[in-house]
Amino acid sequence: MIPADPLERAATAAEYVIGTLSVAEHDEVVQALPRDAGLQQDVYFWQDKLLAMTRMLAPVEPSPAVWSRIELSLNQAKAGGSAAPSQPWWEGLTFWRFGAAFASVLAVVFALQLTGKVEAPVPGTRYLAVLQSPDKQDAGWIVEASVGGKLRLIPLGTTTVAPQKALQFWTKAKDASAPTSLGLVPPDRVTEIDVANLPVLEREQLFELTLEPETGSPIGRPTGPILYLGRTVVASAR
Amino acid sequence: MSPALPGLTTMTTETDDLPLDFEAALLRCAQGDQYALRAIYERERRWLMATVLRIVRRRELAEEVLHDAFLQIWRKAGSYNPRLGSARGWIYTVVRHRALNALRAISNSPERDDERHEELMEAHAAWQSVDDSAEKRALAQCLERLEEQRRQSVLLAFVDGYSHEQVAAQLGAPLGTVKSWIRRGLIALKECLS
Repeated sequence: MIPADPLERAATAAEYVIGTLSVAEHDEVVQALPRDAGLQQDVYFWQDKLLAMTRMLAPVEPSPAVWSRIELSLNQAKAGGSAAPSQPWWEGLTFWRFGAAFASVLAVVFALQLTGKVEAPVPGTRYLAVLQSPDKQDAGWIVEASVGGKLRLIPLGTTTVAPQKALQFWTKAKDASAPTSLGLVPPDRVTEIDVANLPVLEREQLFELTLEPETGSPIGRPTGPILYLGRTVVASAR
Repeated sequence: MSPALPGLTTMTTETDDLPLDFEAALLRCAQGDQYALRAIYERERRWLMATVLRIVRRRELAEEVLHDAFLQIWRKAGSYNPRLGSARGWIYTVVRHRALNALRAISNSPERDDERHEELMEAHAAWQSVDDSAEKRALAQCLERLEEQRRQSVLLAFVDGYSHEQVAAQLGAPLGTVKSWIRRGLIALKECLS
């Protein structure tokens, strides 16, 4: 039983955090946590209050292989589809919002198609964009995406990113007023994104990479210099 | 194309001590941004490794725990609630719990190790004398106010990851007494820290 008395409950939360509960008691806390806001507060309280004790030990460098193994496991899990991050509470909302927005875009497209004004996004249609530096001297990245599939952002080399900075990937539809963030991307590896997560995929859609603070633009719009940009062309239609 | 960096390792070593918005990074992990997970790893790996190594004692096992814990951080990131507390606190709980699991799986044999205990007491004394943050000061002072045995029990449980049985063996006290030292010690800490 999780104690009802606030101090005893706090003591149970503390023992949960430090790890002295029995397996059964520990599991009980784990099960109660999602439904017990008071217990959650206690647990977070202790996590933060005791954190300074972790600085009692001298730091130890793990071998560089550890990160490589983490990355490998993440990619294997992704390929197997089993270890996608658990859905945060807002993710469902985003999905439905995007889903609904995408559905209405499709509806408009189909309506327009009947009147012959817009070409339909045929499933399997592939789009390509070469992202160049603004002075067009340097082609740094390729974007490849197919309707109903994945978008791949492929580096042609390694983009140098200063410490405390990160590369943020954006897209902007032909007639959108502002770009949408597609997240931070590593400077030296392929990034894959489900096309379903894009606001739209069409011809002449803009993709760009900007240099942002390492945790990403704080305002949801690009704040740093554009490093690379380019627009999509249709590569092939099935 | 801009010249490639000499190596990511070099870059990350230089940024080791720079501040990272851990909350934002953890939320980005929940959205599937592996780069954010790497930022957390790079910034905190040496401290996390020290924490895990102290608990499980073997380097190889510690690295395995670190690996497993980071996969767990990745999978569970969506359950972190930024309104309730810091992301670092949340991350350490995930990692410490993983280390404790590994420790309990290999042994829970209560044995006394005075050399190790001495190390802990020295580390605690050194830690106390460094005045680095208000949070740390408050914790150090509140620990200081605990009775000696309660304080040692809490330290052994937190830093060494000892179970009640192991704390009892180390301090040469009955199990029930140790359980009460830890629990009462924590309640006293709560009152002092709140």
